[in-house]
Amino acid sequence: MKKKNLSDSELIELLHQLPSVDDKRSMSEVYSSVIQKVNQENQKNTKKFKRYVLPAFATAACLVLGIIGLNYFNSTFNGFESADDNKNVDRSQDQINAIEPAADKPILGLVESPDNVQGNNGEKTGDPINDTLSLKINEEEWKTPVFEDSLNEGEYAVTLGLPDEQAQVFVPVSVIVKEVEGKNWLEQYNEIQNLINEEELGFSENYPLQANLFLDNQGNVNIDLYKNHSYSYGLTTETFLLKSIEVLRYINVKEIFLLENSVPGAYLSHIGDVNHFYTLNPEPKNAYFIFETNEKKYLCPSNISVNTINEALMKMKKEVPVDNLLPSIPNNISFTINSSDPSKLIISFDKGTILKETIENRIMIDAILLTAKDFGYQYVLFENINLDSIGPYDFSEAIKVPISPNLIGSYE
Amino acid sequence: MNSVFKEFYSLYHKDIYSFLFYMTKNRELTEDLVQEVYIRIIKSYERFEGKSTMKTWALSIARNVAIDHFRKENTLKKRLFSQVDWKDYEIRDTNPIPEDVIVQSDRVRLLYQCLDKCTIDQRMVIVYRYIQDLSIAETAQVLGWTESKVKTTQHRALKVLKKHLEMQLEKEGES
Repeated sequence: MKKKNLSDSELIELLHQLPSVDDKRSMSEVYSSVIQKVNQENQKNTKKFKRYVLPAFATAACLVLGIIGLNYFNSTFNGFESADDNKNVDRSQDQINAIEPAADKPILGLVESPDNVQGNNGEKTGDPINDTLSLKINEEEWKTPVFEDSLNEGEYAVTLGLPDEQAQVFVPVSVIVKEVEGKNWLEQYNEIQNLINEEELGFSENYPLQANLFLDNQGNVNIDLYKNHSYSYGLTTETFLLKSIEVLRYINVKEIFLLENSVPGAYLSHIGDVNHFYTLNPEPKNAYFIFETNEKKYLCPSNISVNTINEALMKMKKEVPVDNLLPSIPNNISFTINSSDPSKLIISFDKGTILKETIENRIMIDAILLTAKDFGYQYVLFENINLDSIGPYDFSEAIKVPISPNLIGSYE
Repeated sequence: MNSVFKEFYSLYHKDIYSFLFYMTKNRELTEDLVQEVYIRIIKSYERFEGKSTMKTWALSIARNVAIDHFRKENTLKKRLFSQVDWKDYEIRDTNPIPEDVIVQSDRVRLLYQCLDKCTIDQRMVIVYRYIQDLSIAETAQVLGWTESKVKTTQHRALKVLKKHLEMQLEKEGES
């Protein structure tokens, strides 16, 4: 059979003959479907927020019952009726009402919330898929921290905060980003915000933030909340915002300028006024635990309050059931701590401690290093270890603390 | 009816629909994605300052919606995290050929099927350049690429189409 050879012009002629396929619907039909979709999105968002508001509501209800019970107990015990009883109940009811979202408050604003589209000047403004860069998620079973030597020339790391499905803990996750000429780090951060799919990773949705993030002329991070942002719906959603800001500390952001609809400062209905100058604590004294979702392990700072590194490391041996956090240090591991050098933490394992090169032990070292970082240490020296190294960690010298936790992928 | 919707529908609906149809080859899905395009247009129209044409702006939104769809679809299908390199990712057609194409010649029908052999980037360029008749400069603007990248992708796309169309023609016994 004779092989058919097409010329380019023949091929192009054929391509021109491909018809422009038409929509069979009328304009009003298309418009109705658009409106229907907007309504569906609104309902979906409302449900999502209700999911977070419900626990807050339950907490408030418990508080009310507690207050009522306490008042009843006091009045009975003191043998007289308080004239303020009814007022107390009314006030508590007001607190409950304040937690429930106002029915008329829009969640999906059509105007105020900028979208992932290409700007008309050719610049990318939160493009969901960049032309040349894509977010590649690694499939490692456990997510290692990012170290200085994890980065090649022209790369840097950014960190985002992902809430778990119950919105109880916030897991910081990091992405290695390839620098692009003409774009600053926050512009690339904004692109990643649009690309990250929290639900596929086993978390609750958080990004993109309902705010415009930009660097001013002095290089300060400005976070300008949209006019109709939904962060004030409950303490949980307000926490979403603050935690999302706090993870910027891993990128060495020391303070941010917070605005609401271009006005300096913000008012969150449960937390109250938040200053325009919002300082991030570089040493928040966190203990890191294991958090598992979608069969992947992450290291997550807990909500428990600790004062010393010693206390933090001891707590890390026990799970935190209320937050679904698992211990990051095996209970049978014992060590002593020398924290006299403010920059170097020395951990001496007890005599006879046998460590094997396992994932659990690697995670333990990761967790200790991250915790040390959150207490302001720059190096950790591990002593009395029967192994010379575990994974990349060489125990013959002090190990530099990581830049950030949980490397989930790259944007390249 | 929203005035922004009305304006864009009147001027560019055909282009938006046709582009999304050729990218997905599925009418139902195209209709869903078209809705998303209009929602994004209405949301962000305030920021449109007229520095590019309304047409290239609208088509760039359609392009973003399409890519977003493929990313999600791929992730869902594979049940693993997306590692798609759009340069290498092919779209597979499992949908019937639409009437508009059936009435064309055999060669055009085969060519329509051969579009599946192109990557997403290549198919976008083919649709913009030869079905929507955009210039190289306009295509570059819609895609946010350089003109040379458009030309290279176009060259590769034509090569792929030529190879597969020739094979199909040979199979069908056309000489």
